[in-house]
Amino acid sequence: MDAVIDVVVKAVFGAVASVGFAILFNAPPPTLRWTAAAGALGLGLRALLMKAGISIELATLLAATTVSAFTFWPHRRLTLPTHIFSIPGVINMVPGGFAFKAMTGFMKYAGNSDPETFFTAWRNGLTTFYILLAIAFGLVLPSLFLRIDKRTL
Amino acid sequence: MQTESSDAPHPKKTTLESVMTPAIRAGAIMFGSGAEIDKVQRAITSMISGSGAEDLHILVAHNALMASITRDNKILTQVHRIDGHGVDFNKVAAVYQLAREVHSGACDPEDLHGRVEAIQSKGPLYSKSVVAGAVAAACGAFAVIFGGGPMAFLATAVAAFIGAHVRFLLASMRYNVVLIFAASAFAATLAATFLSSLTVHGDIVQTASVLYLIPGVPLIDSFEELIRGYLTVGLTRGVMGLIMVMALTMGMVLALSLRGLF
Repeated sequence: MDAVIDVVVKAVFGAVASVGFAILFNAPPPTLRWTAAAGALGLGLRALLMKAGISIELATLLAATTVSAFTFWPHRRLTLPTHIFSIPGVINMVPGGFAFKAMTGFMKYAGNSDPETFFTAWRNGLTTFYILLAIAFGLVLPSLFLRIDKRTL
Repeated sequence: MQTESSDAPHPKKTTLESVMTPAIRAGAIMFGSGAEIDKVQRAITSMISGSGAEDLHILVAHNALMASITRDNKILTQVHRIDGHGVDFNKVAAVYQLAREVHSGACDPEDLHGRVEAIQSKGPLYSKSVVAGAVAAACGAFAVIFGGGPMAFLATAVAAFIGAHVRFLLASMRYNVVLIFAASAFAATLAATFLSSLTVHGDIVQTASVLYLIPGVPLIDSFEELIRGYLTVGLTRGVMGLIMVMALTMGMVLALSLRGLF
């Protein structure tokens, strides 16, 4: 039950984060409900996959790919570029916590020269990098498959 | 800047120019508003393809677009400077729809110039207060996603709201964008360090309150451009994104150091 609540909470707040970013990016109002759906789908799916034992990096890749594929639906319905929905839709998966721990870890290492602090910071930094790579690659993957050398819109 | 291979007047010259000028301008608007380069090129191609051009070449740099059309042994080349890069999905959407309209023949070429200028003059859809509120809600949501509770949501939202207002204030004073990012991150983090005493998740509040500054659009565009083979544009856009991240980190570190949290 706790797992279900966690997934639902992540999906709801994922939608809030995505819509917030869409407004920051000056996205047209008719796109906001689709962005909310993309944000909820991405973060909810990632939480679900992680509950199933999949690593955060692979779960992020699968969730970002799903969000990107999903945005072809509003793209066709509203005749708008997929990025308007997909970028705010996946931005809620940004690994802020890992990035913060990496940054503060390196700062602490500069002061205490403790190898343990250094390697923990590196691990957090690498996790941040892999998650960002998974988001970016997942976002691009469907369009690479669906738009092969298209010259016009 | 505009060059032509012949000085002799051509009956179709006006028509070619009247298509080329708004098309390259539309591409510049799209590129400067955060669209990735493949989409920009396809938008320009869509707008020009109906004009009877035999050959079209588009070259994109980080701060300029160049397009060259050949028709009836005449060459028309135009360069359009791009003054700044930001994110405005409303303009990207408008150019995208206009390009499709032109490509399908539903837009009169005579109206094209006016339509593009109307897109260029579009202002923000949301007031600064609405955007700051949205940013606050988004960062608060991040705090919950990272494992915080209602108090973490509230503290993060207030800190992000303050940071967003600092960003808008400095942007209205036309300061350098790197400085704006650093100062905004500093303000949000400093506010977060004071507000984090309200919750046991202080580190989550400090992390989440600056996430509205993540340059997601340039970094994702950069990655897509690199994958598609636009290495120069992808690298320059990626470097700009990383400079933003560095500015954000600098502001955060300064605020945390001031509060003795290192």
